[in-house]
Amino acid sequence: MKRVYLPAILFLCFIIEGTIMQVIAPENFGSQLVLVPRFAMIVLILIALYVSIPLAVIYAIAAGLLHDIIYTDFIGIYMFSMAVAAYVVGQAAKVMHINAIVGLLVSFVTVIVLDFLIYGLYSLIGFIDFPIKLFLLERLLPSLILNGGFFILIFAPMKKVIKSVNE
Amino acid sequence: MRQFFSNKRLIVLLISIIILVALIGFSMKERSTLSKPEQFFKDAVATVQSLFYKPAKTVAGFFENLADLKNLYEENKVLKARLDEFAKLSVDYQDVKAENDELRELLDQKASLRDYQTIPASVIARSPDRWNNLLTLDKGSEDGVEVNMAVITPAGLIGKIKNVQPFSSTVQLVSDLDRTNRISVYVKGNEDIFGVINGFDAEKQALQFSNITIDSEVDEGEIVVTSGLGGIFPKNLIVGEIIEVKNDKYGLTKSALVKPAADLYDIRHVMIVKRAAAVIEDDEEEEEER
Repeated sequence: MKRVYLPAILFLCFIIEGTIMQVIAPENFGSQLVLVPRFAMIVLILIALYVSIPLAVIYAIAAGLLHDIIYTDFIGIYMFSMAVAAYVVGQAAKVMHINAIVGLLVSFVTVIVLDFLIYGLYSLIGFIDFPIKLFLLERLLPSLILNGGFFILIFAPMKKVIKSVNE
Repeated sequence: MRQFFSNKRLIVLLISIIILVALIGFSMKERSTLSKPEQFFKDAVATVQSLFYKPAKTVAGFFENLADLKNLYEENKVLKARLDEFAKLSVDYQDVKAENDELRELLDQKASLRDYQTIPASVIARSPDRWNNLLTLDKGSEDGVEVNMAVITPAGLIGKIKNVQPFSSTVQLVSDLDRTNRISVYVKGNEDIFGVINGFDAEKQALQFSNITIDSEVDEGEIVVTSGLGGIFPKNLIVGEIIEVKNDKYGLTKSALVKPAADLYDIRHVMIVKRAAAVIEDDEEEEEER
């Protein structure tokens, strides 16, 4: 029973990204800033840090594929980017001792890696043509703050869940 | 870190890049319908999404209502004044409409490009990244929705149907950066000034209206509506208002920036527009390419 906890939390985050976060998106109130929730990715990086990297990569492929099918036109972009982000950041963070502050930094790096991969891949296939300065200021920076906040919110509860799953 | 790119991992990386390229290639080609598994997943997730989106929107709507309460008295006064005006207008409208129908019957013209039926639908999700501007609606092919139908709110056009599943459908907003996302439009009141909407200026949050003939006089503040000539949309759906006009870089045509009339973000209920006028079958392939 406990083994469904993590996929269930992941799916919940995935759904919240597209529904509740869109209801309270700042554009609805006339703001230029774009908050891109990457909640599923934050949960994935916690899995990579505390459970195992291969498991995180497998979940990342599944979550990314679902994201591609439901929210985009192109299959493969999120699947690849999320798996790579989970793997690379997971490997790089292996050497560090994780506490809340380090975890927050790791989650920042994850979101930056993921967003740059997506921006790069979409630009590469010619789907978007977007100035990088605008991308950094209006999208990446606010998104980092949002996702950092989400990380702080779920860090302690997720640690408990993962501990109970690991037992 | 030393083993970061050891042989085995390098091979896995290369294989996954090959899979990535193959998948993108598969999904980039023009597809009229999605594959069955995709449809199944979209429908299944849409069911869950509607459980989240609708209550969230209701709660958000409650707070918006509270904010509106303080303007209520003023608004009511203005609206009451408008009501008399409306009564007169509606009599005129009935009159003109009856006359129009009569004349049309004389001409033996059954379906005009202006005629359409609507299917009401609710939004249940939106792409979280703003690269894709796709909405999910809770009506699908079971309710008569078809690919390429226009989607409007009372304020104006917001997009067209991109994919249809049995119980849900996906809307591509006019602000989507996809280059196949084009609309044939003209300036209201002057059918000589026509062109296509073929892009979105992310910095100015406005649509690009290009291919306007160089000697036509376009002014800021004029309303842009669909022309119905693209074969997909009905005529006279409001797209937006012109906010800037300039010559394009070769000086052969003009282009303008159009601010969308409809709010492309705070959307709850929409109408899917079913055009009454039929498209000539031979043109079908051309329509698909648009």
